[in-house]
Amino acid sequence: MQAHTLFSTLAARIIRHPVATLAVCALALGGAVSVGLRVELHTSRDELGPADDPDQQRLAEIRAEYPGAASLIVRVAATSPGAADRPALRAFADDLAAALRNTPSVAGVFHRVDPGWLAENGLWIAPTGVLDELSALLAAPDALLAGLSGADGLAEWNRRLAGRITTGMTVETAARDGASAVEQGRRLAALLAAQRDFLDRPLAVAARRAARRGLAALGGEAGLPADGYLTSRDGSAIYLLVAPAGSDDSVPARRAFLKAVRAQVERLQAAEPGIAVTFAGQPALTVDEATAITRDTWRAALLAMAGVALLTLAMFRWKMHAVLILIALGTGVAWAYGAVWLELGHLNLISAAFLSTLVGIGVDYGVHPVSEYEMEGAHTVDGSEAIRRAYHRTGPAVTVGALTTAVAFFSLRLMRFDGFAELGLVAGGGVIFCLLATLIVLPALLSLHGRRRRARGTGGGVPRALIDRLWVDRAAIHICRVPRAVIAASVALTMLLAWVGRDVTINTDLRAMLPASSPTLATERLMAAESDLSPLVCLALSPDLATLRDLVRRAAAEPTIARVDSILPFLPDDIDATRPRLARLARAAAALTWPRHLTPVDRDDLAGALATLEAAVTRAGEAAFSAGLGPMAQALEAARAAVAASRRRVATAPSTAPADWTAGQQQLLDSIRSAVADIDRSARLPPPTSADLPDPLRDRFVTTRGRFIAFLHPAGDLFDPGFRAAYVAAVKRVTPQATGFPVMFDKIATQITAGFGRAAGVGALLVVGVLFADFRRVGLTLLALVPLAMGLVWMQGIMQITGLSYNFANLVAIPLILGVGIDNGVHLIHCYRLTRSPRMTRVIAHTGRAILIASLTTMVGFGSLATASHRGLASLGLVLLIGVGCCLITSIVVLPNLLVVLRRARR
Amino acid sequence: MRRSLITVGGALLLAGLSLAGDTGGATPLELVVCAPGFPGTTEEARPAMDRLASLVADAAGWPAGRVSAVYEPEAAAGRQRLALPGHRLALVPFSFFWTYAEELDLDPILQVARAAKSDEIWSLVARRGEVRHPADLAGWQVRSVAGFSPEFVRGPLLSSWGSVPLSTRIAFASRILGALRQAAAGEKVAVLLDPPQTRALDSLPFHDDLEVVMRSPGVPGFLLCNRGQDLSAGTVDALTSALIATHRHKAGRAVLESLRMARFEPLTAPVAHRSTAAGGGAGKR
Repeated sequence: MQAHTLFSTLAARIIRHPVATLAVCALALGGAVSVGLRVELHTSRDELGPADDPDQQRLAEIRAEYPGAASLIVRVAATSPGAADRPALRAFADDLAAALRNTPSVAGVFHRVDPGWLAENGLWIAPTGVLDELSALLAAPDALLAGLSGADGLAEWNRRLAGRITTGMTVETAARDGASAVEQGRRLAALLAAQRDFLDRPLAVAARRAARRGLAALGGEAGLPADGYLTSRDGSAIYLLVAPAGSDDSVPARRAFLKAVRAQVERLQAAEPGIAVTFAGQPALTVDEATAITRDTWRAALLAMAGVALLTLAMFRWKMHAVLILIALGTGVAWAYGAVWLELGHLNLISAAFLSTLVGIGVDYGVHPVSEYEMEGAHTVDGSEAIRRAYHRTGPAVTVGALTTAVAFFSLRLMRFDGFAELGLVAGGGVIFCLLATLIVLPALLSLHGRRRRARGTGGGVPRALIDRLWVDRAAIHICRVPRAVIAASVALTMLLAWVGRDVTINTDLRAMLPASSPTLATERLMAAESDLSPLVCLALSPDLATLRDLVRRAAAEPTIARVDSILPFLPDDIDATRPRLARLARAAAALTWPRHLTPVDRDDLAGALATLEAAVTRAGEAAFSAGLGPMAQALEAARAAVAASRRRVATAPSTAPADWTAGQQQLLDSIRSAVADIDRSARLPPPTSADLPDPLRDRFVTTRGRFIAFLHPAGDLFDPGFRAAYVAAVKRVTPQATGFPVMFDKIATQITAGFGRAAGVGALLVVGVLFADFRRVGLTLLALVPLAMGLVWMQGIMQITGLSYNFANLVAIPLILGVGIDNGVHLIHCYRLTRSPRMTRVIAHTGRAILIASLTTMVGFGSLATASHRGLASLGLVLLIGVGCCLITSIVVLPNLLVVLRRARR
Repeated sequence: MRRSLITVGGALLLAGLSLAGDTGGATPLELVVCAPGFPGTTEEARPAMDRLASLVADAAGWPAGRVSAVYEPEAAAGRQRLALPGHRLALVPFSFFWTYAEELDLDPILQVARAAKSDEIWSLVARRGEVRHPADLAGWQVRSVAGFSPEFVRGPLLSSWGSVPLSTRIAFASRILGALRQAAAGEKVAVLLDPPQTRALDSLPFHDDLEVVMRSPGVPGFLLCNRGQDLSAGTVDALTSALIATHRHKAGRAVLESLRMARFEPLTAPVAHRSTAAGGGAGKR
């Protein structure tokens, strides 16, 4: 009882000097606001993790010398099929890249390898296997191209081909040459399929061929992007990787960067309405998320204000009391904000949530004494005495509740993840300040308000609020009618929900928190489906090419690493192996002779040549099949089908077709001649070095300090914890220096999931310690914990039933639910001990009323978040609604009945 | 290695000594290879036949040129050639032997294995879902390289499955791939494939439209026969011993591989033919 007297005495002293008390508090408030204004909001995600983490430091180091580490991915495609053709897409992408390179907030753009550079250097960087194939095409004794190069037209070309098949593709050669014979058969099939396409659309095919140069013109572009562009697999979308200038990853910096890129996009789109541009990558995700959170927060805030206003009308007998509670709460929150400057000097993306958390919890501290004050008649009786009594009854419980909640928050300091650790510190401190405001500011405000009303003669009778009519007058007396039945049902329900909710997990998929309609998310899904690009990769720096080659070689042995993007494909792999091949190619290219003019195509002549060719291919296919040479027979069957289609085409083509075929064959000849000349020329060039690379390539793969960067792409879903752990382990095996989002995210996810459990365990012990210090009896301590423990079990069961899981957003709700649940239990047990009444009616009516007001306010305030489009925020709102709702029922229904049952049992 | 060379050398010496009696003079020996429906013409096969003749001559220890080999791609031409006077050996598929053994007085002395197993299983292929029982083939055409002998097809190859209707036409086909294409396209054509053809079936682009509806019992693949018992028993024994050893040395193996043969094997049981088989069935008895 000493504690109760202490709080009533404190209240009495404050009531005697309310103005002086408020003046001192206002001074403290002013000071807190003035220092609070200096608190910085750090929106960088990097700062959420431990600053001394070596991977974090390496990532910062990479970002400092390589802006492309957090590139924005721009996807350029037609708005609908046919709205823009590929040349238009390419022109748009080129224009956009040029415009972005002149944008100050852009450090660099990579979207294609210069085709001229490729044509010149393609031979040096082509795999030796491709060069060998090219040699077979040009220089081998039975070289297809060499053998056909003298043909003076399409018909003659087909006849020569038929002859070569009859003499060169026999069962004997196929059996002798094995795989290379099959490869030759496949090349033949591809060649004849190309002829079929040519006969269908001669001018278009010839023009497409003419647009290619060097290796690409002869089909030797293996390993290089089509035409040098970074495209989707089917070529229908082009990707640009846009590196931001500077390493600031805060939301305002990212927003400004994205805004600048959008401005260029919109300017170009005005001239090309058929082209759609969407964004992906970390900068887009950050901005997308921040925008959704801002929009949702405002909408939720409006909903919450409307809801709390309605609740105030229904709950408080004197509406002004709600305002006084909020003033006291505001003062406490402002003090807490000022304290942040002293504690940390800044807030991060997660600890910024402490304000709303404090409002949700801190309002409870004011509700309890004010509700008790109203139940005592407030200023309609002796106001000072009513306040003193209210604090006498509720002060200790409010204090113990606040201290346990603060302890729960402080236990978050045990987490290595700074985001939550800092939240624990500022929220724990904030709870103490809210408690102080409730104990000091609120009684002074209540006293002054009461005096003013009495002075104006507006004291009057005690009004009845809706909560009084429904709860105090009716429900309270029925709550404990059948205590044993209620307890039995509660225990059964708890066991059922504990079983149901045993598998609720922490979902670490960040994408599942973003709005389902997020355009960035949609683009990333599309990108994953249509290309080999991944927005989330690990990065590794190599000081030289030898180290980089070693890294790539080791990565190739790891199944969880899909591929490594680096500068290596653009540099000669083995100069000594390539040089003699190039010399051979150059000789072969020089030896080829081409007719100056081709014979015009005659339909009948061509049909006859194709019939001869089909007979030769059919015969070769039959022979291969009968000899059991399946793969060869397969290739020749495909070749036969292509010739048969060509014959049908020649037979049915319109009368203008021969003229087009004649023009097309000349263009084809010219392009092949030019390609061979390209090869001849580039074979004489020296091998390119990293210094010779075009700027976009260097910007993409070389840092500003001249180190080589490698992108290690994952072969699976990074948000699958099992795969992520295996991938990160593989990356670390390849090089311990590798870092990047996957490494940091894996670390943070582990820190959060494991750290949260540790913090919860330690927090629970401390809470039990504080409660035991208060009650000095194990039984009462455990009883005070019943609403929270049972409420959490119920919440988990309902989460499982409704398909909710924990995530990085709704984990923030847990301390809040802990605070509310503990408060409820502590208040009920305190009131129960104070009244010493055998019946629970007074406890339920008085404390239950306050718990109802406090819980419903929290539920309405935070439940409004359930309407958010940001799925993380929405789940936070839902978890709070469910958790606080469950704790409310276990507090005002289960615990009173349990107390009744225990009391009866003791008799 | 040394042991295998000694073995081969010994075998060849033995074969040479044994054959000396029959070919002591200049009497030439012709090896007639007749494989109806197999790829290539007589002319195209000449280099392979020359290699085969050399193989036999080397095995026998005869001077080069004493043995010649000729390929006949059609059954009728093969029959004619084997009916000519003179010393002759025949290398023919079992279908040919089964049909003409009595007429041409062919006496099998060795069998040829084309794969690990010497017995061969033939497969009847039809459009998927069209044929379940022999009766379903009424009015159909069955094409095969063995189709030159409808009795052989109905007998040793298909009789274990059941009785093929008389309205089913058995036809010889050398263009098996074309026949399979017709079957896949839905024509009333079923195709009987030998093991190499069956092996290649899965590679075809239209193989999903086809299915194997029946597999034959194992029958011999190719047989080396002594025509009219031209060679004496001792010579035959020595020749067979030498030929059986050919796949054990590199040069012999290379010749066999170029002919897509794995090895010569001794006969483990008498080989049945049309006159000895009671209604077909087993290949050996």
